[in-house]
Amino acid sequence: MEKIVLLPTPTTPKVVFDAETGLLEISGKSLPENSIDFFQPLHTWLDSYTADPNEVTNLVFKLEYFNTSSTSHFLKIIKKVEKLFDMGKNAGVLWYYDHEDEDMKEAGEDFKMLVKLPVEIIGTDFIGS
Amino acid sequence: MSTIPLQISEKLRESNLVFAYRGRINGDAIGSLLQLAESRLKSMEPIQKRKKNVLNVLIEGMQNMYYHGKGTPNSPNPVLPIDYGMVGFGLEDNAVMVYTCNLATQEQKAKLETNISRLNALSKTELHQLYLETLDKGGLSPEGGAGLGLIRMRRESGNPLLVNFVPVSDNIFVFCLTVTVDQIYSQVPAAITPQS
Repeated sequence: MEKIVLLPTPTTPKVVFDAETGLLEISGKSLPENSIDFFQPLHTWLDSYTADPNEVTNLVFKLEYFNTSSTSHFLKIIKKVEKLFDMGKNAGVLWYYDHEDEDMKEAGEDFKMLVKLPVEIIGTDFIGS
Repeated sequence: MSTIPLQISEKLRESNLVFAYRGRINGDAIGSLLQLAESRLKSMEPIQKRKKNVLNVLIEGMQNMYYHGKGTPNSPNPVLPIDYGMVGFGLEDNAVMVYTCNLATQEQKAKLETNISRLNALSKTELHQLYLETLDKGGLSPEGGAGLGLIRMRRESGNPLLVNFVPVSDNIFVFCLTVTVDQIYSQVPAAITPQS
């Protein structure tokens, strides 16, 4: 499967989805003008990936800001990866947050409450510019 | 903007306005405005958590203006495009007041009044529960909104959302929302302490 690599912009995140390694990473700022247009290709890619996934899948979030329209898509992405977990694959979410950003930590905890998939909430020193 | 009511303009002048923008709210504007707002906020040196609360309120406010501006029918004012709005924030005592204004129809007004009234009556726990339930339902409007914006603004603020609708024509209003993020300083700096 072709890798997805999207460079970050002032309003859209960096995205790297690599089927060979099972590493799916979304980082930076997520405030897309049209969230449906931005995230639909990612959902489509994931649908193909989950049909033939890597043995290990890590969905990594390292976000600075996001709007609630993005939140809805993040949950959709997390639930697609959850299907792998339900199939017995090694799959989980790594939710990174800046130590000073309680809101981002709470956002990760919210997702954790809504899925059965393992979600690890990891404080780090610095995210973003 | 000739249709912005006088009392709103006066309110903005009264507050210690730190940041204000009047014009089209679109994707390009949101990115630039957020950078500028963040820079202005940083210079105020608020508590980190409250700075983030203000920025999140701004993000949601601008997102709502963008999404709902797209849904507003042709403006009765030929000079006023449908995605025209106003966003800003000012300092009042130990709080940042975030202001957004945009056009709304009668139908949108009715929904907003009901929705905001309901949100203002909820406790912190109830708001969190509502947020999780709405998120889990997962629907998106045709414009791409998830129905979470006002909930998030209410949660980030911790205070009731203040609304004002000013009629422009029979079916069009200027919808102004004021969101208060208080306790932005652990100790109020001398520069903003009222003189006795």
